[in-house]
Amino acid sequence: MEVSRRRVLQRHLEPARPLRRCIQVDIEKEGKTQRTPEIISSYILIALSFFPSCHLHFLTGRISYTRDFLIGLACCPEAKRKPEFLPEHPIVLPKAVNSLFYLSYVNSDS
Amino acid sequence: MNNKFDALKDDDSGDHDQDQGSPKDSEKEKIEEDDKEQNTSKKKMVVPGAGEHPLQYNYTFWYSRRTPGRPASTQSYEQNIKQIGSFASVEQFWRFYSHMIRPGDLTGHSDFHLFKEGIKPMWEDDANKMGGKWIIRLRKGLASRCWENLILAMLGEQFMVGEEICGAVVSVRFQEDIISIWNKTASDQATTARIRDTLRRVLNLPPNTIMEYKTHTDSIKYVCLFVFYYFSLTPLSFQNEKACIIKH
Repeated sequence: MEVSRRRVLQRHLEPARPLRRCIQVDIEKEGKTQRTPEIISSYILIALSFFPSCHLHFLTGRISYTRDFLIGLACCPEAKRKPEFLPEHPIVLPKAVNSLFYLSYVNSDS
Repeated sequence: MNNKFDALKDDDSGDHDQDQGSPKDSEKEKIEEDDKEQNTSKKKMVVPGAGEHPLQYNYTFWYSRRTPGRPASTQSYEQNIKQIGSFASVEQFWRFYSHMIRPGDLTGHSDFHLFKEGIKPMWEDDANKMGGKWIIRLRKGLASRCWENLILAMLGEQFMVGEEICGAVVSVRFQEDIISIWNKTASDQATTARIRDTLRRVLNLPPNTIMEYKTHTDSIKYVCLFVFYYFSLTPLSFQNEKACIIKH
Protein backbone atom coordinates (compact mmCIF):
# COMPACT_ATOMS: atom_id res chain seq x y z
CA MET A 1 0.00 0.00 0.00
CA GLU A 2 2.79 2.36 0.97
CA VAL A 3 4.65 1.83 -2.31
CA SER A 4 1.61 2.29 -4.53
CA ARG A 5 0.66 5.56 -2.79
CA ARG A 6 4.15 6.91 -3.47
CA ARG A 7 3.85 5.97 -7.15
CA VAL A 8 0.57 7.86 -7.44
CA LEU A 9 2.12 10.96 -5.88
CA GLN A 10 5.15 10.79 -8.17
CA ARG A 11 2.96 10.50 -11.24
CA HIS A 12 1.22 13.80 -10.45
CA LEU A 13 4.35 15.74 -9.63
CA GLU A 14 5.79 17.56 -12.63
CA PRO A 15 8.78 19.88 -12.64
CA ALA A 16 7.98 23.60 -12.92
CA ARG A 17 8.33 24.84 -16.46
CA PRO A 18 9.50 28.29 -17.49
CA LEU A 19 6.80 30.73 -18.63
CA ARG A 20 7.88 30.82 -22.29
CA ARG A 21 7.65 27.05 -22.58
CA CYS A 22 4.10 27.13 -21.19
CA ILE A 23 3.05 29.48 -23.99
CA GLN A 24 4.65 27.28 -26.63
CA VAL A 25 2.84 24.20 -25.35
CA ASP A 26 -0.50 26.07 -25.35
CA ILE A 27 0.02 27.22 -28.88
CA GLU A 28 1.02 23.77 -30.06
CA LYS A 29 -2.12 22.29 -28.50
CA GLU A 30 -4.39 24.70 -30.29
CA GLY A 31 -2.51 24.30 -33.56
CA LYS A 32 -2.64 28.03 -34.27
CA THR A 33 -1.47 31.22 -32.60
CA GLN A 34 -4.76 32.33 -31.11
CA ARG A 35 -4.44 35.05 -28.45
CA THR A 36 -6.28 33.64 -25.47
CA PRO A 37 -6.45 35.77 -22.29
CA GLU A 38 -3.87 33.47 -20.66
CA ILE A 39 -1.40 34.00 -23.47
CA ILE A 40 -1.97 37.76 -23.45
CA SER A 41 -1.39 37.96 -19.70
CA SER A 42 1.82 35.94 -20.17
CA TYR A 43 2.95 38.46 -22.80
CA ILE A 44 2.26 41.25 -20.34
CA LEU A 45 4.34 39.52 -17.65
CA ILE A 46 7.24 39.09 -20.08
CA ALA A 47 6.94 42.71 -21.24
CA LEU A 48 6.87 43.90 -17.62
CA SER A 49 10.07 42.02 -16.90
CA PHE A 50 11.80 43.87 -19.74
CA PHE A 51 10.14 47.30 -19.35
CA PRO A 52 9.11 47.64 -15.70
CA SER A 53 8.49 51.38 -15.77
CA CYS A 54 6.71 51.72 -19.10
CA HIS A 55 3.00 52.19 -19.56
CA LEU A 56 1.37 49.12 -21.06
CA HIS A 57 -1.94 50.54 -22.18
CA PHE A 58 -1.53 48.92 -25.59
CA LEU A 59 -1.71 45.54 -23.85
CA THR A 60 -4.00 46.09 -20.87
CA GLY A 61 -6.51 48.52 -22.40
CA ARG A 62 -5.99 51.02 -19.55
CA ILE A 63 -3.48 53.83 -19.56
CA SER A 64 -1.30 53.31 -16.54
CA TYR A 65 1.96 54.93 -15.51
CA THR A 66 4.34 54.24 -12.67
CA ARG A 67 5.28 56.98 -10.23
CA ASP A 68 8.86 57.14 -11.56
CA PHE A 69 7.64 57.52 -15.12
CA LEU A 70 5.32 60.39 -14.15
CA ILE A 71 8.04 62.12 -12.14
CA GLY A 72 10.39 61.76 -15.11
CA LEU A 73 7.98 63.79 -17.24
CA ALA A 74 7.82 66.62 -14.69
CA CYS A 75 11.15 67.97 -15.88
CA CYS A 76 10.22 68.39 -19.56
CA PRO A 77 9.64 71.99 -20.79
CA GLU A 78 5.95 71.32 -21.66
CA ALA A 79 5.30 70.43 -18.04
CA LYS A 80 6.68 73.75 -16.73
CA ARG A 81 4.63 76.09 -18.93
CA LYS A 82 1.92 78.01 -17.08
CA PRO A 83 -1.61 76.82 -17.99
CA GLU A 84 -3.51 79.36 -20.14
CA PHE A 85 -6.66 79.63 -18.03
CA LEU A 86 -5.26 79.47 -14.53
CA PRO A 87 -7.34 81.75 -12.28
CA GLU A 88 -5.75 84.44 -10.14
CA HIS A 89 -5.80 82.99 -6.70
CA PRO A 90 -3.57 82.98 -3.60
CA ILE A 91 -2.79 79.30 -4.12
CA VAL A 92 -1.64 79.87 -7.71
CA LEU A 93 2.06 80.58 -8.07
CA PRO A 94 3.39 83.10 -10.60
CA LYS A 95 6.25 80.78 -11.56
CA ALA A 96 6.51 77.02 -11.67
CA VAL A 97 7.93 75.40 -8.56
CA ASN A 98 11.38 74.36 -9.61
CA SER A 99 11.79 71.18 -7.68
CA LEU A 100 9.26 68.52 -6.85
CA PHE A 101 8.63 67.80 -3.25
CA TYR A 102 9.96 64.36 -3.93
CA LEU A 103 13.29 65.65 -5.20
CA SER A 104 13.73 68.15 -2.39
CA TYR A 105 12.85 65.38 0.05
CA VAL A 106 15.52 63.11 -1.40
CA ASN A 107 18.09 65.94 -1.41
CA SER A 108 17.39 66.85 2.19
CA ASP A 109 17.78 63.20 3.20
CA SER A 110 21.12 62.85 1.46
CA MET B 1 -16.99 60.79 22.67
CA ASN B 2 -16.42 63.54 25.24
CA ASN B 3 -18.95 66.00 23.93
CA LYS B 4 -21.28 66.53 21.01
CA PHE B 5 -18.71 68.56 19.09
CA ASP B 6 -16.54 65.47 18.70
CA ALA B 7 -19.06 64.29 16.12
CA LEU B 8 -18.02 67.08 13.82
CA LYS B 9 -14.37 66.69 14.64
CA ASP B 10 -14.63 63.05 13.68
CA ASP B 11 -15.40 63.77 10.04
CA ASP B 12 -13.21 66.70 9.22
CA SER B 13 -11.92 65.57 5.85
CA GLY B 14 -13.04 68.48 3.79
CA ASP B 15 -16.62 67.65 2.93
CA HIS B 16 -18.86 67.56 5.98
CA ASP B 17 -20.08 71.14 5.78
CA GLN B 18 -22.38 70.64 2.83
CA ASP B 19 -25.29 72.51 4.36
CA GLN B 20 -27.90 74.47 2.50
CA GLY B 21 -27.16 77.91 3.94
CA SER B 22 -28.83 80.86 2.19
CA PRO B 23 -26.19 83.14 0.73
CA LYS B 24 -26.65 86.88 0.33
CA ASP B 25 -27.73 88.36 -3.02
CA SER B 26 -24.24 89.49 -3.96
CA GLU B 27 -22.92 86.07 -3.06
CA LYS B 28 -25.64 84.46 -5.19
CA GLU B 29 -24.50 86.46 -8.21
CA LYS B 30 -20.97 85.34 -7.57
CA ILE B 31 -22.10 81.72 -7.41
CA GLU B 32 -23.99 82.10 -10.68
CA GLU B 33 -20.87 83.57 -12.28
CA ASP B 34 -18.80 80.71 -10.94
CA ASP B 35 -21.37 78.21 -12.21
CA LYS B 36 -21.25 79.81 -15.64
CA GLU B 37 -17.47 79.57 -15.61
CA GLN B 38 -17.63 75.95 -14.52
CA ASN B 39 -20.26 75.07 -17.14
CA THR B 40 -18.24 76.74 -19.88
CA SER B 41 -15.15 74.82 -18.88
CA LYS B 42 -17.22 71.62 -18.88
CA LYS B 43 -18.29 72.25 -22.46
CA LYS B 44 -14.70 72.84 -23.48
CA MET B 45 -13.44 69.33 -22.86
CA VAL B 46 -9.68 69.32 -22.43
CA VAL B 47 -7.71 67.02 -24.69
CA PRO B 48 -4.07 65.91 -24.60
CA GLY B 49 -1.75 68.03 -26.75
CA ALA B 50 0.19 66.59 -29.66
CA GLY B 51 2.94 64.28 -28.42
CA GLU B 52 1.72 64.41 -24.82
CA HIS B 53 1.06 61.38 -22.65
CA PRO B 54 -2.71 60.92 -22.28
CA LEU B 55 -4.30 59.94 -18.98
CA GLN B 56 -7.00 57.30 -18.65
CA TYR B 57 -9.41 60.02 -17.44
CA ASN B 58 -9.53 63.80 -17.45
CA TYR B 59 -9.23 65.30 -13.97
CA THR B 60 -10.10 68.62 -12.32
CA PHE B 61 -8.31 70.41 -9.48
CA TRP B 62 -10.53 72.12 -6.91
CA TYR B 63 -9.67 74.23 -3.87
CA SER B 64 -11.82 75.13 -0.90
CA ARG B 65 -11.29 77.16 2.22
CA ARG B 66 -13.55 77.96 5.11
CA THR B 67 -13.46 81.69 5.80
CA PRO B 68 -11.99 82.27 9.25
CA GLY B 69 -14.26 83.91 11.79
CA ARG B 70 -17.47 82.78 10.11
CA PRO B 71 -19.44 79.78 11.32
CA ALA B 72 -19.85 77.00 8.79
CA SER B 73 -23.63 77.05 9.04
CA THR B 74 -23.98 80.30 7.10
CA GLN B 75 -21.86 79.18 4.21
CA SER B 76 -22.68 76.93 1.36
CA TYR B 77 -20.14 74.26 0.58
CA GLU B 78 -20.51 74.85 -3.14
CA GLN B 79 -19.88 78.54 -2.65
CA ASN B 80 -16.55 77.85 -0.99
CA ILE B 81 -15.21 75.47 -3.56
CA LYS B 82 -13.22 76.89 -6.46
CA GLN B 83 -12.39 75.08 -9.68
CA ILE B 84 -8.73 75.55 -10.57
CA GLY B 85 -8.57 73.72 -13.89
CA SER B 86 -8.81 70.45 -15.81
CA PHE B 87 -6.20 68.39 -17.59
CA ALA B 88 -6.07 65.38 -19.86
CA SER B 89 -2.38 64.48 -20.06
CA VAL B 90 0.60 63.98 -17.78
CA GLU B 91 2.26 67.15 -19.06
CA GLN B 92 -0.89 69.20 -18.47
CA PHE B 93 -1.09 67.81 -14.92
CA TRP B 94 2.45 68.94 -14.15
CA ARG B 95 1.66 72.42 -15.52
CA PHE B 96 -1.09 72.83 -12.94
CA TYR B 97 0.71 71.05 -10.13
CA SER B 98 3.93 73.05 -10.51
CA HIS B 99 1.96 76.31 -10.41
CA MET B 100 0.06 75.48 -7.24
CA ILE B 101 1.36 75.76 -3.71
CA ARG B 102 1.93 72.52 -1.84
CA PRO B 103 -0.62 71.40 0.75
CA GLY B 104 2.01 71.71 3.49
CA ASP B 105 2.22 75.45 2.75
CA LEU B 106 -1.53 76.02 3.02
CA THR B 107 -2.83 77.78 6.08
CA GLY B 108 -6.14 77.54 7.89
CA HIS B 109 -9.03 75.25 7.08
CA SER B 110 -8.19 74.44 3.43
CA ASP B 111 -8.64 71.53 1.05
CA PHE B 112 -7.25 70.51 -2.32
CA HIS B 113 -9.48 68.15 -4.30
CA LEU B 114 -8.52 66.24 -7.42
CA PHE B 115 -11.53 64.56 -9.00
CA LYS B 116 -12.35 63.00 -12.33
CA GLU B 117 -13.78 65.59 -14.68
CA GLY B 118 -17.55 65.71 -14.30
CA ILE B 119 -17.56 64.52 -10.67
CA LYS B 120 -17.98 67.24 -8.08
CA PRO B 121 -16.15 66.70 -4.77
CA MET B 122 -19.45 66.44 -2.94
CA TRP B 123 -21.42 63.61 -1.34
CA GLU B 124 -24.49 64.56 -3.38
CA ASP B 125 -22.87 63.95 -6.76
CA ASP B 126 -24.33 60.90 -8.54
CA ALA B 127 -20.92 59.26 -8.70
CA ASN B 128 -20.38 59.69 -4.95
CA LYS B 129 -23.76 59.14 -3.33
CA MET B 130 -23.38 55.36 -3.02
CA GLY B 131 -19.69 55.64 -2.27
CA GLY B 132 -17.28 56.17 0.56
CA LYS B 133 -13.71 57.13 1.32
CA TRP B 134 -10.56 55.88 2.95
CA ILE B 135 -9.24 58.43 5.45
CA ILE B 136 -5.71 58.72 6.77
CA ARG B 137 -4.85 61.25 9.43
CA LEU B 138 -1.32 62.60 9.18
CA ARG B 139 0.82 64.48 11.61
CA LYS B 140 1.93 67.90 10.40
CA GLY B 141 4.76 67.89 7.87
CA LEU B 142 3.73 64.82 5.89
CA ALA B 143 0.84 66.15 3.80
CA SER B 144 2.79 67.35 0.73
CA ARG B 145 4.66 64.10 0.22
CA CYS B 146 1.64 61.89 0.84
CA TRP B 147 -0.64 64.01 -1.37
CA GLU B 148 1.88 63.85 -4.23
CA ASN B 149 2.22 60.09 -3.92
CA LEU B 150 -1.53 59.63 -3.69
CA ILE B 151 -2.41 61.67 -6.79
CA LEU B 152 0.42 60.14 -8.83
CA ALA B 153 -0.94 56.68 -8.02
CA MET B 154 -4.45 57.80 -8.96
CA LEU B 155 -3.44 59.42 -12.25
CA GLY B 156 -1.22 56.46 -13.11
CA GLU B 157 -4.12 54.03 -12.56
CA GLN B 158 -2.23 52.13 -9.87
CA PHE B 159 -5.33 51.21 -7.87
CA MET B 160 -6.53 48.70 -10.48
CA VAL B 161 -10.20 48.93 -9.50
CA GLY B 162 -11.64 49.84 -12.88
CA GLU B 163 -13.94 52.86 -12.83
CA GLU B 164 -14.28 52.88 -9.05
CA ILE B 165 -12.03 55.78 -8.05
CA CYS B 166 -13.78 59.18 -7.97
CA GLY B 167 -11.06 61.44 -6.60
CA ALA B 168 -8.75 62.39 -3.76
CA VAL B 169 -8.73 65.13 -1.12
CA VAL B 170 -6.09 66.62 1.15
CA SER B 171 -7.47 68.59 4.07
CA VAL B 172 -5.25 70.94 6.03
CA ARG B 173 -6.41 71.41 9.58
CA PHE B 174 -5.10 73.05 12.73
CA GLN B 175 -3.33 70.15 14.40
CA GLU B 176 -3.24 67.49 11.69
CA ASP B 177 -3.75 66.95 7.98
CA ILE B 178 -6.06 64.38 6.42
CA ILE B 179 -5.84 62.68 3.06
CA SER B 180 -8.69 60.67 1.62
CA ILE B 181 -9.56 58.81 -1.54
CA TRP B 182 -13.18 58.46 -2.65
CA ASN B 183 -14.70 55.53 -4.50
CA LYS B 184 -18.10 54.91 -6.10
CA THR B 185 -19.37 51.77 -4.38
CA ALA B 186 -18.95 51.62 -0.62
CA SER B 187 -20.56 48.16 -0.43
CA ASP B 188 -17.94 46.57 -2.71
CA GLN B 189 -15.59 45.11 -0.11
CA ALA B 190 -13.13 43.63 -2.61
CA THR B 191 -12.66 47.07 -4.17
CA THR B 192 -12.29 48.92 -0.88
CA ALA B 193 -9.78 46.32 0.34
CA ARG B 194 -7.75 46.69 -2.84
CA ILE B 195 -7.77 50.49 -2.52
CA ARG B 196 -6.61 50.18 1.13
CA ASP B 197 -3.74 47.86 0.21
CA THR B 198 -2.63 50.07 -2.68
CA LEU B 199 -2.78 53.13 -0.43
CA ARG B 200 -0.52 51.44 2.12
CA ARG B 201 1.94 50.57 -0.63
CA VAL B 202 2.06 53.87 -2.51
CA LEU B 203 2.13 56.04 0.61
CA ASN B 204 4.67 53.77 2.25
CA LEU B 205 2.72 53.93 5.49
CA PRO B 206 4.01 52.33 8.66
CA PRO B 207 2.06 49.16 9.61
CA ASN B 208 0.49 50.83 12.65
CA THR B 209 -1.07 53.67 10.62
CA ILE B 210 -4.80 53.85 11.27
CA MET B 211 -6.89 53.84 8.11
CA GLU B 212 -10.59 54.41 8.38
CA TYR B 213 -13.26 53.72 5.76
CA LYS B 214 -16.35 55.86 5.92
CA THR B 215 -19.40 55.64 3.67
CA HIS B 216 -20.80 58.97 2.53
CA THR B 217 -24.29 57.99 3.72
CA ASP B 218 -22.84 57.40 7.21
CA SER B 219 -21.14 60.78 7.10
CA ILE B 220 -24.44 62.48 6.16
CA LYS B 221 -26.34 60.57 8.89
CA TYR B 222 -23.66 61.47 11.42
CA VAL B 223 -23.97 65.20 10.76
CA CYS B 224 -27.80 65.01 10.66
CA LEU B 225 -27.88 63.11 13.97
CA PHE B 226 -25.51 65.61 15.53
CA VAL B 227 -27.67 68.53 14.41
CA PHE B 228 -30.86 66.76 15.61
CA TYR B 229 -29.49 65.89 19.06
CA TYR B 230 -27.79 69.21 19.48
CA PHE B 231 -30.88 71.28 18.79
CA SER B 232 -33.43 68.97 20.42
CA LEU B 233 -31.64 67.96 23.61
CA THR B 234 -29.41 70.91 24.41
CA PRO B 235 -30.91 73.83 26.39
CA LEU B 236 -31.18 77.02 24.35
CA SER B 237 -28.81 79.01 26.57
CA PHE B 238 -26.13 76.33 26.19
CA GLN B 239 -26.60 76.30 22.40
CA ASN B 240 -26.00 80.04 22.23
CA GLU B 241 -22.93 79.69 24.41
CA LYS B 242 -21.52 76.95 22.14
CA ALA B 243 -22.39 78.96 19.03
CA CYS B 244 -20.26 81.80 20.38
CA ILE B 245 -17.39 79.37 20.93
CA ILE B 246 -17.65 78.18 17.31
CA LYS B 247 -17.64 81.75 16.03
CA HIS B 248 -14.55 82.69 17.98
